[in-house]
Amino acid sequence: MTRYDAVIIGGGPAGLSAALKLREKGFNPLVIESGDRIGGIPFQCIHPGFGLHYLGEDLTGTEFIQRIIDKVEDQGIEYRIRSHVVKIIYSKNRYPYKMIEAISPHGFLEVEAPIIIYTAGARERTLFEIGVTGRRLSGVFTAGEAQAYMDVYGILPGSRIVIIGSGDVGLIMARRFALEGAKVEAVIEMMPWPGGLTRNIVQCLMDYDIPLLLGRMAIRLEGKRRVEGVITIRVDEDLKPIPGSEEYIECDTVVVSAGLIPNVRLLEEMGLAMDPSTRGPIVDDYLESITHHGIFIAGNSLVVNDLVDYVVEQGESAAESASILLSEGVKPRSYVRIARGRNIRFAIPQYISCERDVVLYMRVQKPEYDVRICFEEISKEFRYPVVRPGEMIRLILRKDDLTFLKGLDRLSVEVRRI
Amino acid sequence: MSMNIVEHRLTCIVCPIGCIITVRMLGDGLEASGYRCSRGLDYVRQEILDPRRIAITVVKVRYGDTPVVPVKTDKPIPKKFVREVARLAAYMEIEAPVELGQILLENILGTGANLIATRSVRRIE
Ligand SMILES: Cc1cc2nc3c(=O)[nH]c(=O)nc-3n(C[C@H](O)[C@H](O)[C@H](O)COP(=O)(O)OP(=O)(O)OC[C@H]3O[C@@H](n4cnc5c(N)ncnc54)[C@H](O)[C@@H]3O)c2cc1C
Repeated sequence: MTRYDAVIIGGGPAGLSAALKLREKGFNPLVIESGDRIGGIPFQCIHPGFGLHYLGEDLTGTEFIQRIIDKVEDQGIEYRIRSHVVKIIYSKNRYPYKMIEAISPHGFLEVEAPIIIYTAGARERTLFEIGVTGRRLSGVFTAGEAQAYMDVYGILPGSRIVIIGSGDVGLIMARRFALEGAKVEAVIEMMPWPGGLTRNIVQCLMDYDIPLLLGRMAIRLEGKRRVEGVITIRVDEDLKPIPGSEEYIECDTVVVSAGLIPNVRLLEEMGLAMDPSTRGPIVDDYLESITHHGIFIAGNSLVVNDLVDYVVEQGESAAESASILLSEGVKPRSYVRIARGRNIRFAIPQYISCERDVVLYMRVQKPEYDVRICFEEISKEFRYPVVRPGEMIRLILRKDDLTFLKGLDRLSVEVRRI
Repeated sequence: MSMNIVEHRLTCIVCPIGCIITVRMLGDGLEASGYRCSRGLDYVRQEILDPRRIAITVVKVRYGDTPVVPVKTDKPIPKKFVREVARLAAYMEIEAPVELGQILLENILGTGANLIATRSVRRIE
């Protein structure tokens, strides 16, 4: 049995930046990655838009992650590729350690560590999860699969494309297809507003004259062996289909970009407390599970992020907390719960210790202009000219302000109009 | 005498507000409305008079640990050349190893920008 100070599950930007931070603090981590290489999603993102906040430079996903990979190699951080973690055996004490079981090319891998940093990313929602019916046809891909085909392996998966979902991933893939000579027939979005950033609507769709069909839902795929078309239907304000409004779009490829869901099956099997609003684990401001000591979560496994900068921030923060735990041991904490109010879809972390500054990540339910985000009990507010579901809000609550919470059990947050 | 007025509606992408800016071209002049700050005005002026983008695509690699390498122009080039870059890159083939930032083609299509690799590719025989 091999022992490490910490085992990091998943070698994407969250996991690798956690590993670098642990090494900087003098600890010896192991990264376990199921893919053919470390790097995670940015390895297949060839478009710019990475690192503006973190590095102050606009890099492509590949450039961003190559720099991190080079550091990991330089530091001689240990990692195992093609090694898929299948089980975590949990013990809440430092001794005996937690045990991680993985399947690897060298056989069954068993590793022990007092700390686990879980950074296994998110998985893409499939056609079956969004209620599209029809036969199991070929020519149907998730956006991430299509992206890997094109930009890691150099294969164009089709020539007439329909994209389901207008999140940034879908928009970016629409542009990639158009640029490589495929025709993007339409991007279909059920909501009355696009899911992705305005910047991507302009530079990915408008630049290439790609139609965006808002308030429409894909309901059925047609075709014999390969997909030949998609039937869509208009939806009303309650997202109910309007009979008689069906339309048929011919295509040979359907790309599903229906959002990401934290990849947390292993955590669920261990019984970690989960938050239905993020579909990830419930954590405190150390990014430690509220129910399982020594398990830290960062990146898209914690909450689906749109910016890699925040992913890296979470990875480093989880590693910093882990190093505190490794050197100082468990300390009892009391918590204040973040209570979500009007137009707040989720807030991370869900509990705060009030012992230090807190970075809060939030999303709204619907777009609004000229608003204040208000924290009732500490009389703090932050003004925003606009808030949108597609753009995660990041703000910092100062320790000094949080001292007002002594004796209270909750901190309420809501969006108010000015 | 009638003057030819061309009107464009652009969504500003400088910040998350996304102002819808209307631009009227009167001969050589440009008149805009709907922007909330001067950055919006600069954005539409650039977008109308000289729209530029970073071009991205992939290039074939022989003996690489991946069959293609992602590339980009090292500065924004006129928008009308972006498709040309992708078309040109489709005919290129290079040999591994490739270094991050390596210049694969200088002054591509006379734009003054170089085509550079955006990650490294290791050589495998
Ligand atoms: C198409 C697309 C475009 C994007 N564009 C941008 C952009 O322009 N700008 C920006 O800042 N961000 C962008 N992002 C977001 C950014 O890429 C993600 O937020 C970031 O990659 C999340 O990092 P992560 O480390 O949490 O997860 P990932 O990058 O998903 O890495 C998770 C890793 O864990 C591994 N893993 C999973 N399960 C196991 C297991 N059981 N055992 C071992 N290993 C496992 C996976 O193989 C993977 O390598 C984009 C994302 C996508 C999908």
